Amino acid sequence: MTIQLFVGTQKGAFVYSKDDAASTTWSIAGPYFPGWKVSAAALDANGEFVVATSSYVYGAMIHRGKSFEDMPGIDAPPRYKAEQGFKLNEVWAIKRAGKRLLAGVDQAGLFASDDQGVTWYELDGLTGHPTRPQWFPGFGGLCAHHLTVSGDEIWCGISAVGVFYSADAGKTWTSRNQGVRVLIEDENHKEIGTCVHAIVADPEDPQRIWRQDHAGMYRTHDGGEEWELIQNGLPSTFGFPLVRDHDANVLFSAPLDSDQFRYPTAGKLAVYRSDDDGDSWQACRNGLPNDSYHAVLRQAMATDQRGGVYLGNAAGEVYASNDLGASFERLPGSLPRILCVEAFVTA
Amino acid sequence: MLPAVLTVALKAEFLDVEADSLKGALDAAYAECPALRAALCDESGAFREHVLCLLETSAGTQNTRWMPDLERPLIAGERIVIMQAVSGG
Repeated sequence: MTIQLFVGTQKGAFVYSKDDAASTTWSIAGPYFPGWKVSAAALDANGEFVVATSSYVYGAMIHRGKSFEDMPGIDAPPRYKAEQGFKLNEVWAIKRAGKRLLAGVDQAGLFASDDQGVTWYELDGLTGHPTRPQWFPGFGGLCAHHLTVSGDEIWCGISAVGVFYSADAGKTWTSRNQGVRVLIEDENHKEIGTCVHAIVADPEDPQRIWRQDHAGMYRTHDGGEEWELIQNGLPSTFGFPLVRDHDANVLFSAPLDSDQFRYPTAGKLAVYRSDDDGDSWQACRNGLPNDSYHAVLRQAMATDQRGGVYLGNAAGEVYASNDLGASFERLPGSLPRILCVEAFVTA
Repeated sequence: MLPAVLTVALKAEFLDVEADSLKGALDAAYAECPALRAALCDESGAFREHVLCLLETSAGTQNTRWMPDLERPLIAGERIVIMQAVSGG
């Protein structure tokens, strides 16, 4: 068994590898896609990698292949039709949904591929939502950045807008933000104006979803019909990443001091862990720096479902735990600003 | 000729094409490397804002942005150079 830790940065991707979950000996390879922002990676149904890159100059690109060394851009990456008037700046999330791949993008929208990422088409019910003219970007852009999927059900998190839900594989959408504090109230559409930062669902019960929002940490038991605050023990209501070890039923977040300061509270980088579905949270600091003022960005934390917890920060430092956060070690290398971390376990 | 950042992403460096016009050469390059069109052109089909397309001729280098269109006839040996029109940090 090999664990590959894919680290996407502002200027390329790096891959850490080790041969078993208990080992602490990692090798590092890369950079791959040098010069490109690397924002997401996933495995398709055939076990091949799909990677999202983007460039300030050249726009968004998708790469596919078995090996990161040899992954040219695909012929036709996702893009909006000219008449829609939207720009596709970046792919923020790639999610496997059975044999289908979904891609959440900036400007906010959702694309799908039925051929392992070779060709893409827009699920235009989302950009056709009646609230779309009132969507506007937050600090990180107007991006569809998190997806959870169960059969034909899709939940899509859009920054500065909220969570949208589809029961029909992405054809039609409704807002699912009841109970979440609205940050910027729209004059007419009261169902938008929340700012989701991350969502993660329980694969055993996909209606159970946890949500790190700009306005706090939330949980729903009914697919987002109602959300409740769950912040007992957190040092701050603000943060970006939220991941879960589904085998151990443990949640992990990385709070930041506030939306104004955006660094770890008092400079102490900490992962917060919940063993009780978010009822309470405890700090995990063993092995993490206590003099760090660099944020862990939205997609820059991952689990491997084998006790591994991984995070990268804006200073390009990668930390790994193989004991559900009880202790962390810093992995070798000082990388560019880290945008995303994904853990891939292969036989 | 493509900049290095595109070379590594698209696995294409020099594309030799035969065409009668600048537009024809670009279309031929896009046919040979379809991802190039997505990288160079925005949703409208125009060059992206920070893509610089230069035509190297025996008389000197011309910026295609200053041409009325891309229908200019080509002479054998002329070279199209793509650059990033980006400066600063």
